Amino acid sequence: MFKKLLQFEVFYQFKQRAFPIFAILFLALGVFVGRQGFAPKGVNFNAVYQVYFHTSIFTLGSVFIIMFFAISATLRDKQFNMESLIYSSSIKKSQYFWSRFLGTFIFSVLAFSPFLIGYIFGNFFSDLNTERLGDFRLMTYLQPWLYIVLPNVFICATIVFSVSTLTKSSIATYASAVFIYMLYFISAIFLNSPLLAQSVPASPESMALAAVADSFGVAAFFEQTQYWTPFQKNTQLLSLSGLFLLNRLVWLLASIGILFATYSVFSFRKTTKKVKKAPKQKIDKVQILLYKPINALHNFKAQQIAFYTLLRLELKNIFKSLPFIAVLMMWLLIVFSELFSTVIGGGEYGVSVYPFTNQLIDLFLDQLTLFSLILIVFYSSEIVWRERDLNFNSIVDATPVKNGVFFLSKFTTLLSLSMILITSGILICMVFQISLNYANFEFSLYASLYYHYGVQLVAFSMISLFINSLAKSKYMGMGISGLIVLLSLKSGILGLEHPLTSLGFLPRLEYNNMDGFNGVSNLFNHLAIYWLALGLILTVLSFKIWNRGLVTSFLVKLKQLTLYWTRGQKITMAISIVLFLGAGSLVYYNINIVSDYETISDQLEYRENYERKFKKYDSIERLYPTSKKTKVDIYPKERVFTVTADYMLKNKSEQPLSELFITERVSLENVTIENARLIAHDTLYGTYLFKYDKPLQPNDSVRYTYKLKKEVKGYEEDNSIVNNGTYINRFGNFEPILGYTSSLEISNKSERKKRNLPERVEEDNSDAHIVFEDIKYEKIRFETVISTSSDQTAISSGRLLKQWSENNRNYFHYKSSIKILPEVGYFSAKYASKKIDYKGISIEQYYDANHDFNIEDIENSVKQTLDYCQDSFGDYAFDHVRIAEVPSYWRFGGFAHPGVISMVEDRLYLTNVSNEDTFNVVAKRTIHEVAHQWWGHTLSAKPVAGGPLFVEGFAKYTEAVVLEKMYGKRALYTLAEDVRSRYFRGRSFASSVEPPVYKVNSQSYIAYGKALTVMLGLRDLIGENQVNKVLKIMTDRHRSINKLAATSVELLEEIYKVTPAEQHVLVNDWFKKLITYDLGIEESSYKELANGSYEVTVKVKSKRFETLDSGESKQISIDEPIKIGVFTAHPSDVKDNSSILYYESNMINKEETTLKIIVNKLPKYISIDPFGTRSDENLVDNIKRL
Amino acid sequence: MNTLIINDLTKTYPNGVKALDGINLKITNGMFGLLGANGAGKSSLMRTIASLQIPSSGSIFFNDINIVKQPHEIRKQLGYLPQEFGVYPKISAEKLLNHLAILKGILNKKERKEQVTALLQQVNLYQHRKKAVYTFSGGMRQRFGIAQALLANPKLIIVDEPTAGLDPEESNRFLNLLSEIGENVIVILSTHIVEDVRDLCPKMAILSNGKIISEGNPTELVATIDGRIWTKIIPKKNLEIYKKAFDVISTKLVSGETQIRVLSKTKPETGFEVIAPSLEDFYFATLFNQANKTA
Repeated sequence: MFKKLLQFEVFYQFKQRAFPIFAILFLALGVFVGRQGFAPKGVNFNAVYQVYFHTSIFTLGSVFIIMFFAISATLRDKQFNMESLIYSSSIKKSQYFWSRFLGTFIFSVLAFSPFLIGYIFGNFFSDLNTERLGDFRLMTYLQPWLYIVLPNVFICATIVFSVSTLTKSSIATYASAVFIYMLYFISAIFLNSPLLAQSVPASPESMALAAVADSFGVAAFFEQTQYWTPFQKNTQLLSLSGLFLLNRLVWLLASIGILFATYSVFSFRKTTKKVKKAPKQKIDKVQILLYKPINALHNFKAQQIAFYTLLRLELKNIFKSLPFIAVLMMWLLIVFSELFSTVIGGGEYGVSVYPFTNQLIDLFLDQLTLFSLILIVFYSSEIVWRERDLNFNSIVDATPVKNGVFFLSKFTTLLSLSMILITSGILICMVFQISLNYANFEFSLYASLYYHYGVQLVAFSMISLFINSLAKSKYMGMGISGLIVLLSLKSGILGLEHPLTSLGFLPRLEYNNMDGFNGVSNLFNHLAIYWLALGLILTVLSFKIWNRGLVTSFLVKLKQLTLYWTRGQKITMAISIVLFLGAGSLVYYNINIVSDYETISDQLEYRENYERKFKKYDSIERLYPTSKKTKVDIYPKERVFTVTADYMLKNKSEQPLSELFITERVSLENVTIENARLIAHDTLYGTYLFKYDKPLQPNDSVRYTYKLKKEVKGYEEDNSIVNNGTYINRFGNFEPILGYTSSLEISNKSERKKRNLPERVEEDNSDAHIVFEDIKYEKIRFETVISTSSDQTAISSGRLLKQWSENNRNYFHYKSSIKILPEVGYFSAKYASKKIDYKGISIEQYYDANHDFNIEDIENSVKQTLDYCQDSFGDYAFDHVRIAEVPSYWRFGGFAHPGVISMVEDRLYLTNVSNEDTFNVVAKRTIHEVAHQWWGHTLSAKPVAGGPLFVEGFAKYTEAVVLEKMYGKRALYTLAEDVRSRYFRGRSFASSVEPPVYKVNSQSYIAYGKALTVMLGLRDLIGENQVNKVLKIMTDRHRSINKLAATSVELLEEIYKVTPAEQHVLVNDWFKKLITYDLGIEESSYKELANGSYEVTVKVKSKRFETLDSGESKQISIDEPIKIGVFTAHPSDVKDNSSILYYESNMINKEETTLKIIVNKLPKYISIDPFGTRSDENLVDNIKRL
Repeated sequence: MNTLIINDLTKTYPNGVKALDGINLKITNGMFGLLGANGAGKSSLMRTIASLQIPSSGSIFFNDINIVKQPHEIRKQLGYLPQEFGVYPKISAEKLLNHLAILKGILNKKERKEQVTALLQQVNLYQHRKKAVYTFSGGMRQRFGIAQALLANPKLIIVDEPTAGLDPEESNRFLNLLSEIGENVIVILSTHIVEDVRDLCPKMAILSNGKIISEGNPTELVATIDGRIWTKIIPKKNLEIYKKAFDVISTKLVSGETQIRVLSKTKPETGFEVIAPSLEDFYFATLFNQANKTA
């Protein structure tokens, strides 16, 4: 009997048209994903990691399939009124239940599995670069199917099937499917899952929690593979162990539990509907009224009142519906947790930001669009088709209510959904602000949300309503509008990257407290009109074809469109079309004509041609500036600046030169070279070729002048010249390039191959290259006169010689007293300022008047850094430290120019470090940038491999030692944890083979990461004084050399000189090899001794690994001193020595070592290497509570 | 006096089914009964008059307004009870009726309340007014449907199988109410209970395969077959023989015995007795003739 039932179930589900559709859909999806050739660099397209990654994410899509099969399995009897027939047959409950469940499960698996088959096809039968395809291995695809697809489909099927069986309601079933999604996203967002790019990496603890909580196993997969190097990603299968195993087990058991619980609760042959006791009606004596007809009115007022009653009913229906309640709850929870975790829990380094309105709303904007679109897609069809679904349409459609009123009531309802989300988000923000005693609500900024985020949602609401009016059924409407919304988010795929063709596209407006909304708002406004006008056109149309009575066919609807146009409709239509075309042409004009719109292929074309035409000039020896004088006039309101520059250029080569080639960045109004004439100029590529009247001899100099005007054209986004907070730096540089620039060349290898361009020469980073490469750039003399509007202050490098006002503008004349790196910036903003003199150095701060929370902290940190660095590394090079605030457009923490430091508003000025227990990120950033005045500006490294060690590595080191002095070892703990995850995360996504520290180049995960670990290890090994002595020797040696000359080879020589010979191997290991550790406390205990002291017994684990050139990691022997500490507080809370009972180096030479330590106070924590002197993936197991 | 004139009305569905096939009717105040088998086109005709579907061709005039072209005009005058309908869950009968009253254009709150109360009393739902219509039994829901069709001041009331599911007492009450109202307005009633039409409707039509095959006053129509309906009790096994020999229009079981009715101008055979024809006999006779004609 069971077999028969299952057979029928299989037969029935198989006959469903949906089965082949789903299967083909997922097959196609698999092919599409498999052939897209998108993998982190160094990882094969068919690497195990990639297959897992895509499969686990796309199993999220299986919920739809499951929902469909579950509904068809459990609700078809009810839908087709077969219930009484089935229930009166002799089927047993168990047979019924299990056959239907198995049917659902098996078919969901069958419909999803083609995804993997498609993936294989996509991998192997497309034009993917074969260099990046590994050999076909069945397990690569079979293992994800076993570990991810089967369990995930089973888990989801259990939940959806149970809901469907118990409620017998399709709405509840959809809701459960939506719920599973939301649950996933919530756990992803709340627990900081790595899938969603979070600015702050998750802590190991929350990572572990997420790994277990995520029912799809995505987080668990990420947890296991987070630090996998490309080599591992290519070769290693997932191991069914640890958190991944736990996750699979927990969820499988939970779903089996759910299934059996459902089975026992589910009562066959009885409707599960609860019989509610009817409320007792009062049998009240009422006067019997006789029916008499009442004349009705059909005027405007009648329509108005009808609108209100319809709207009320629609809203009531929605507010009472489960999916809406679920989405709203999730939304509130997410907004709350986002705000809570950032504002109260803390962001980067666990530090929170002052609750400025823009900071808060920024936290929920991404989710706002996502949630609103879900609601719009779901409810647009729900609302449009409601009466038809209930079969109530023949009654309401026969009432004398105009189409417009029905339409408007539904439209308003749909709109109100997004508005409710926005409003509730705002309210939560305000609650947070109030609770944090922040009173500057900036209502206008809150109100702007309705415009900046509402418009897109209004447009999508209109589009969805139109689609549903046109569609033949509810699901068709829902499906198509869902598809359109999805495609609009990815319109690039369809080759519709132009803003006018990506449906509903509106640029994300950046707002910051300093500068407000920037120039993007023009594009936004024009596009807003454009999309609203399109929406209005569709709205008029949808209302012409509004379904009244029976649903008519598509052709009839087309006919309907042409008939019975009222004057109002005609006028609305005409106005909409005019607006649509008008705004469209305006956007087109600004994008395509004013700013030369370029598609990606246009850009590649441009780059290819530049290379072909001008590569020949690459061989001309360049001239190098020895002095620069500029005059920069900044017009912040107009967003314009002009530059007049006057440089001296020198021939530093050995031969006389006859030609000079220039590539401009901003088009030049005028350019001259002394004793040379312009012989060729290409306006399209902005290149100039000069010929000297007579060849320029070695060491001879010429004068070079140019003039330019930079204005923001069309919709150009330029954050360097803004209304308040202009900051012209190397990222928005205007300087022409003196020569051919390879930065314009196409760098992508396969693209070069396709275009028949020669392969580019790999960078040489041999030791010999590091030592002998001849870098001709040098420090220069610099002088500038900057002018700006009368309400702003302009800043640049150099001593301020003079300051005056003229023609209602402010002028500032700066001149460097020594030669400096030509890395200068130009600032202009409405600045408040604070200047003090500290031991002959003037500390000058320029900041927005509202952002004065951390000024004292910054000043104090500058002083401490100056003291430490002058003591340890020699004199400060300038007589001033000038710190200027820049708007949060800039994504870095700060930037050090010679004597001048830029600091970003939200990452320094608006962070809240008022609580003594929080990590002082303000001090951290300040120390770092001030330290750069030594590391970079005084000790300038040769820009070759190893250079960043001097610049960033030493700055991180200074940061660590000064912070430790100021705040104790707990600061080291926070830094070490950050550095650890930065390094391991960075190397796992590294694009090229990881270099050792002394050859670090562009790998920020080493410069900002491992370099600090190594430096701190070195400090423990030879002592802080010795390390600083080496740094001082280097600094003194290079201080007065204009050239950028220091190399890591030279540094290592100095280090060896002060290191005992027996430790050279270890230093060598750290700087020149890739060594990682696995340290941890295995067991620990303590007992009180007779004399009142305590004996701690600890077993430590210590493994050491070397990463070979192949990428493989191999365990090697260990024999080195490692710090072990006993504390009365967790190492992250250690403020001073009072909580340190023991902290000594112990020689460790085995995988496991047992030690006994005597301390004189009750020990609380024991730890091996608590403050990050070794590269160890897992810092958590280094510490154990006793 | 209201008039509804239907000219050459045709409706062909996209699947080719001709639901209405050249219907011509003129209806004035009073009850108009529409008889016909399942699928004869009754509901299609009623939906088309109620402006819920557009005819393929033909016109409908209500008081000289072309309601195919101006569907909105008929909705102002209409009370419509569809054959089947559903309602929103979780809304009480009183609230839903009030909602519909607003949609029908009763703006005065007091008047609205009075009419809603009166109608609920009239259809015997007053004591259930706080309950959701969604939870009503079939009969109760039907009564609610009747109530909403009478809201405001309809000049044209279209009721599709209104008494289906009602017990005889309720059914009577409703029909009495309808005939009272029907004195001043047009009421179009479709039903399969032939006797209801005879009792209530001064005019009627029989619909078959989308065509009107007979139209007129029930009594006059029945008179046309007076003396031509013969009946006989026969053994069941001989039924086929009789069907071949005579024009058997209907078969009935009377106290467990098979009674046939035959249409004939003369006495068909011994044992047959002439009886006074009922509307039902006329209905069957008409269908029988129609079937023979097409065969």
